[in-house]
Amino acid sequence: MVPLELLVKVGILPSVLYIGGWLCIGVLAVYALYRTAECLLLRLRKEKRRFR
Amino acid sequence: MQKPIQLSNYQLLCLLFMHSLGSSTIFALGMRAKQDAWLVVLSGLLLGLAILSIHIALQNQYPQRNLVQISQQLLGKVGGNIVSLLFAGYFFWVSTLNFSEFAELIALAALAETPIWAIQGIFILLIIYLTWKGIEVIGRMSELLMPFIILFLLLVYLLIVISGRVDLKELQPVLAYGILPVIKETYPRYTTFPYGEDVVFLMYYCYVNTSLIKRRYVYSAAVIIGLLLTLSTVIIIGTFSVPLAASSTIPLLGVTKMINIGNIITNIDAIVVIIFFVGGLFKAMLFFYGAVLTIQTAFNLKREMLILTLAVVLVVFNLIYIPNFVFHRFIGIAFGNSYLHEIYTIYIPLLLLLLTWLQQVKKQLTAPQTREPAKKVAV
Repeated sequence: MVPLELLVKVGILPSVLYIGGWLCIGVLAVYALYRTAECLLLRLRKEKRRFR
Repeated sequence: MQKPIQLSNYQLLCLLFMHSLGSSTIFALGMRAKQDAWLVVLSGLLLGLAILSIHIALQNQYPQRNLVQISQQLLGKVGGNIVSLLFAGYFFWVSTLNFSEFAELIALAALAETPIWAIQGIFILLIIYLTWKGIEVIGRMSELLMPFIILFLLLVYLLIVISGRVDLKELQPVLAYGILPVIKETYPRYTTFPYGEDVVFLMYYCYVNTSLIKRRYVYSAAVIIGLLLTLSTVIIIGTFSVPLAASSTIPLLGVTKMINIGNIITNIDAIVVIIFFVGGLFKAMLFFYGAVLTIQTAFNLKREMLILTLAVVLVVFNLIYIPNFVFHRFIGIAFGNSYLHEIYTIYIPLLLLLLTWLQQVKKQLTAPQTREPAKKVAV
């Protein structure tokens, strides 16, 4: 993680890019987890149907 | 009917080479690892190839789309546009850094009396002209210039070796401080720079005239750059020794000034200035055009209008934001290379690739199943 003093020193645009970038990573990671869970559920349902 | 914009794989290789060349060969990279800096450059190349493979894997899933269209496809219009805006800001910021860096370097190395705004003025006019002409023209220009640049660099290396200034003992002992300083210096600093910065090509890969990006061309560009960088680092350390190489502003220029073969071949530093100018122009221009294309695709705006507007913003932003070369080096290395590049060159593309794979898995799972045909029983 970048020290706060450095963020202040580098100016607005790079700070926005840094914070925005990490937020974006966070949102994308959560979305990827959601998609993974969705795929696992679909797979489970499919397996269940096959065993019936 | 308008001909679609197309780049050949060789032009892509040339563009990648010229883009990565930028400032990388003129500075001494990885100097925190002292005499093992060349190992930093070599291991950076290996990790760089891994980053490039992420970019190619993502692009090959969407052969006809650029980064903005890929994001929109994966995250919807709003989500995709937010990611695109971040990338546009990133491309613009790197472009500003390179624009200022090269103008300052040329002023420092060759045109000491010329006001910096004059150099920047010529630089931005060239960028406007070339981006106006489009990526095909830039591709052809890189095709023309790449052999000369490689030749010039090899010539400089050869002449300094012939001058008898290189002492390879400066590189010894190898790994005197262990492998840790090499690893610490390699990631993320010299992995994302210069290889990771090729993320901007996610805006250009879609123009290549083959259905899929051929990995060997992309890897070849990275390997050529990696080897030239290693050679450059070895020669700079061998000529200057570690302390001087680490403190020198433009080590390659200093090395070139030391070339003296029989008092006949001397003062060939103009060659290095040409390399500065061409490398800097390509790097700043490709990032600038990347920002233009990102905003154009995301918001469906007119390209010409965007080029002019962003060019004015670039010059003004550069004048206000970057007061001198020292500040530039500070934000470029202490912040950009260490903290920012990895976000946009590794993590976000990797997550986009992961989401693409997940989308494909979901599609496979939800696709209607076809019953297997019953086996014929022989009677």
